[in-house]
Amino acid sequence: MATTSLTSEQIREEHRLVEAAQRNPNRFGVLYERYYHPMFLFVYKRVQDEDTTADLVSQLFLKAMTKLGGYQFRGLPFSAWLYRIAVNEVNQFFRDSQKKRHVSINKIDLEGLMMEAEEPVSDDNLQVLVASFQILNPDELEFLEMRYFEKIPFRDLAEIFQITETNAKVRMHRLLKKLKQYMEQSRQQATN
Amino acid sequence: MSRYNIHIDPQLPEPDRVSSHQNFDALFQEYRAVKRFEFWRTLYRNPRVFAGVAAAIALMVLLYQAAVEEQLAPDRMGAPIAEALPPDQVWTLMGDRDTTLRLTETMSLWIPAGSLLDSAGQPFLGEYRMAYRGLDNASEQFVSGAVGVQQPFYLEAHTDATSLVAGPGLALRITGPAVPLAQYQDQQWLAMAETHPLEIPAAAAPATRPEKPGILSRSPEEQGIKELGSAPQLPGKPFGVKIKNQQQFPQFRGYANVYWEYIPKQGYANPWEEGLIDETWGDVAIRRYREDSYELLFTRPSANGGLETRKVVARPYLEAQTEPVAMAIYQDRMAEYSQALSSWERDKLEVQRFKTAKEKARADYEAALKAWEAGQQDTTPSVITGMSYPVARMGYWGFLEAVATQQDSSLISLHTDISFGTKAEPFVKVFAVNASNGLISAAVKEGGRWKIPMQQQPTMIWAYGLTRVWVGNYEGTESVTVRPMPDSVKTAEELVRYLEGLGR
Repeated sequence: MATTSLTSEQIREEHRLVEAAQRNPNRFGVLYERYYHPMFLFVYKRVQDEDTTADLVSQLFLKAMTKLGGYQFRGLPFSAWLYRIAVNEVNQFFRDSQKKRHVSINKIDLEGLMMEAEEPVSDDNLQVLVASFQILNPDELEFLEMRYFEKIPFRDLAEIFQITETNAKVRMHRLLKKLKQYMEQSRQQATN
Repeated sequence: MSRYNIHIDPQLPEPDRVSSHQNFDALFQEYRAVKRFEFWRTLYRNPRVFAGVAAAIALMVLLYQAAVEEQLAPDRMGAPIAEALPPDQVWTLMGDRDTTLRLTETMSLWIPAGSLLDSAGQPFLGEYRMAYRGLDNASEQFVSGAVGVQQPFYLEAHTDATSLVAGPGLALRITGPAVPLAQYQDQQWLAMAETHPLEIPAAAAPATRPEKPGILSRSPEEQGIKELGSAPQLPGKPFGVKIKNQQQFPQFRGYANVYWEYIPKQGYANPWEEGLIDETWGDVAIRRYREDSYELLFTRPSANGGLETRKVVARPYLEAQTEPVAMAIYQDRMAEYSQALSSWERDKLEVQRFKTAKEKARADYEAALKAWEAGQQDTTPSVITGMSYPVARMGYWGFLEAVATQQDSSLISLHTDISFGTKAEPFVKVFAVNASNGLISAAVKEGGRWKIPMQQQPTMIWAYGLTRVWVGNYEGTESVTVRPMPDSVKTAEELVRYLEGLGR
């Protein structure tokens, strides 16, 4: 579930649920129901193990419940705050376990990224683009995934990564440039 | 080497599979478990909160310790130690009458009617008793804790049921030149600054007939002192009597080769000094002298034709028929004698002390009685001058004449903290006491150590800790070791004995 679909009214309505949960933790159940599936899939795409994902999501929501008192509404969907916790949990998991991170991509989303990078869409290019992900550090990869594969808007990304919206856009621009350079170099090496 | 496993169009779990992991109840239980101890986690994770709580706990501990130490402080003078230091004099008085009690030659207590208050703060007008005790010597002052002043004494007023406290008007009147009087209050001696010149008619002073001190009507036995018997007798050196012709001396049949212990008796010979030993005698007679002793009469013709005789009182060592055995018995008897003599001398000392105390009490009583009788008869107006000190409370008093100090004397130093087992305590006050003349010198705390004016030896050290009293002997070394005084020492006499033992 992406957050783009929420209108301002829906965001305010959602915040009322958050306030209710702040007053009475039992009310957190509504938010839990609403966000369990998207959070599960978000984590699963990176972990690729159902039980591990269930554990991490459980930890994620526990943390959200215990920290809910400190949550401050900034006009953004509640999910932005949940994603921030989720990203931290997943990163912590890979730091602790030393396992290799998984990246799950729809081919359609991949083609969308090709077009955004102003690269011709072809199977060869797709393979080069996928290969180019290996040069990204985990933060860069996470940023790219959330923007193009989770479809999270820049203002939410800014909240998740604790930067300004403008910085988020600049960061994404540099990321695309980096991928583009890699693809050009790869093509040149293939030609030579 | 690839950093990431990249999956294109991977199979994701079906919604039902995802829902199977969803369990808000379990999450909520976990949340409650976490929240239960959240306060304590916050406490130790947050340095500021932790420091604040630690500081608060430290403050509470300090306050608690201060409170406990105040409770444990050696306020030995909070109330007279009646058992250890019974009053010298007790007067039975009426609260509704003006009374003057003569405490010493120069000091009297003026008690106007209604100047003593009961526990409710109301003037007490019924019968009560006023007790006085002067602490005359160092050991009495040590037991009471009234150290640091001259001629300390205590005053106590009580009925059978309760103690009375001082009210307005109560005053100590001291004749002669003004002297700095001090009262023990809040664990220190406070000088009584408020005084009034005194001019009172002498005839008005003795109002009540002095009461006969109880000690005058008590015998040593009633005072718990053993009756003093006769001194143990020194055993005499044994001697043997060898009978050459047993047939002629049938009365000696049972004492053949027996050694005899000589018993000194007036009118009888000392065999070791009067030429009886190693001499041959013509005849010997024996007859019973006491329960276990005999009179031996040795006779032989003298050079001038007369009869030479020696009479000896002796006790037979029936089990000793050789000299070594007899000497071993003699040594045992000598040891028994030494022990018995020490015990007897101790008893004698106690009896003497009792007699001395009784004589002093009698002299004081007779003097007080004489003064009272004179006061009854003498109506000529005369004036006594002196100072009057308001008495705000009962308890300990003394005169603030400077305690002896020797500015140029060498100093010995004493640790301020003394360990005793696992416990340690600082000293509140320390004194050096000249054991010969009883001169008490206060120690001064300098640089965390107690500096004690050096005195002529032998010197005792009295250190008052927070919980008990420590004593030691200065033996000319750089430091002094003090030991806690045993709880068993409660009276001045016990203290004297303990300190004598410490000295040895």
